[in-house]
Amino acid sequence: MKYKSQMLACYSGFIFMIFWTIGWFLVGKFILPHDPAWSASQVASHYESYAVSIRFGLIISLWSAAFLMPFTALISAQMARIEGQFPVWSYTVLGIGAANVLTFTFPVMFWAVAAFRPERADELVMLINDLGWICFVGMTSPFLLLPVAIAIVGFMDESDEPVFPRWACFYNLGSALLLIPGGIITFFHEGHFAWNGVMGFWLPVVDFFTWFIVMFVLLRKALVRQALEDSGAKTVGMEACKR
Amino acid sequence: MNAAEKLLPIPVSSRQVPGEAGIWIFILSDMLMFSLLFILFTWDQTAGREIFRESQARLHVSMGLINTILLLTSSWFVVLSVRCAKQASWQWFSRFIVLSILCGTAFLIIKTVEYIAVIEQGYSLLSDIFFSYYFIITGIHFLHVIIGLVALTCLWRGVSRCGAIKDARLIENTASYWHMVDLLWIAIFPVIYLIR
Repeated sequence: MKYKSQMLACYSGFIFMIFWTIGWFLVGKFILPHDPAWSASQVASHYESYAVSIRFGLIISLWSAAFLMPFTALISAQMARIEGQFPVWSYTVLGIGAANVLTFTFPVMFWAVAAFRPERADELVMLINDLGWICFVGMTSPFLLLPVAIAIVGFMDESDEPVFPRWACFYNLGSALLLIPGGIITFFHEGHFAWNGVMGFWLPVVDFFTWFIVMFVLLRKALVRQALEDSGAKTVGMEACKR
Repeated sequence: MNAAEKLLPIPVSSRQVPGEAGIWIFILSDMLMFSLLFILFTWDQTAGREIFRESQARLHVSMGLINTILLLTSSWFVVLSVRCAKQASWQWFSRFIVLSILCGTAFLIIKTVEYIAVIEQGYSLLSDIFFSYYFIITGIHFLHVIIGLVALTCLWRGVSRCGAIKDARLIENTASYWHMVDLLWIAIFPVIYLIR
């Protein structure tokens, strides 16, 4: 049971990733980020043209965002195993996990508001659109500490087969660093540092996706190992899963 | 040299690559970001050569040059300190680390003076595309120097408290990182200040 529930939490991260992406990128017409240099009328006409699709896509994204929480809670639980009696960094990660759900839901709600009455004055639609984008790409703060916290605890792990190997700790630190350019999007309406640019959007997005995949693989491996240790079995079969 | 010699030499790795595999993942991801910044810089420079040339002429090349020398010197001190660590000469290790910290701090001070001078000339992150790159690239590098100085200070404190650093990986990783910070500046200086 211990193993099953944790594995479920691990895969819930995938549910988040797949459905959020489908909702946002494909159905919600955000496949290429809107150009921040668009005029108010261009923004308004985009919402007007795709109002139904955007609303539908955003609902999919909204619902899937909650599934990020169990995934982060799993990271936190695995960290708590390492930290022992005073799991302060695990608590930090848990808090960040909750904040991250907001990072993925609030911008969606803002965009949904824009799509709710696209016939509103163009400037108002643009304002809400900006609010969504700047919160989404620019809200690097709660997430930034997550990889750092994992690295801090990972470095302390002295077990033979650590949950987060040392290379993964360094990788986490590097991954936090690559998110930094996302924080400066408020300065730029166009160019590579704007919210649709290489540094402002694509680098942080690719970085987050890669980080997610790496963490998923590591956590899954750790869970399988944990199940084996608990059961004393040599392979993870039905015996281990029953635990 | 002194009593510190009595300490056992730390097992500094004899492998070809210094530090552990992980630090190279970190360094490579960092290099990736800077390479991307350099590519984008060159891309935009080709498109707007005039703006770049005019704005570049406003920079203080002398300060950039002094900073290059400072970081190179700092890196050299780190090389010397690693050599001392191999010989378990911790007192000298500590001295060289302090010297490298001083060079790094001088870099930050000069860079801050340069930023103030550029801002007083009326330029900012939003003045033009060249200054956007100038502030962002050198700003991210500035942050790297601060992180490096914190790591070097941790090494220095480790020796001050315990008399030695038992884990050779800490020394090699910090040294590798500091050399990367130096290397980045060696790339930044010509790209931003010199090549027109």
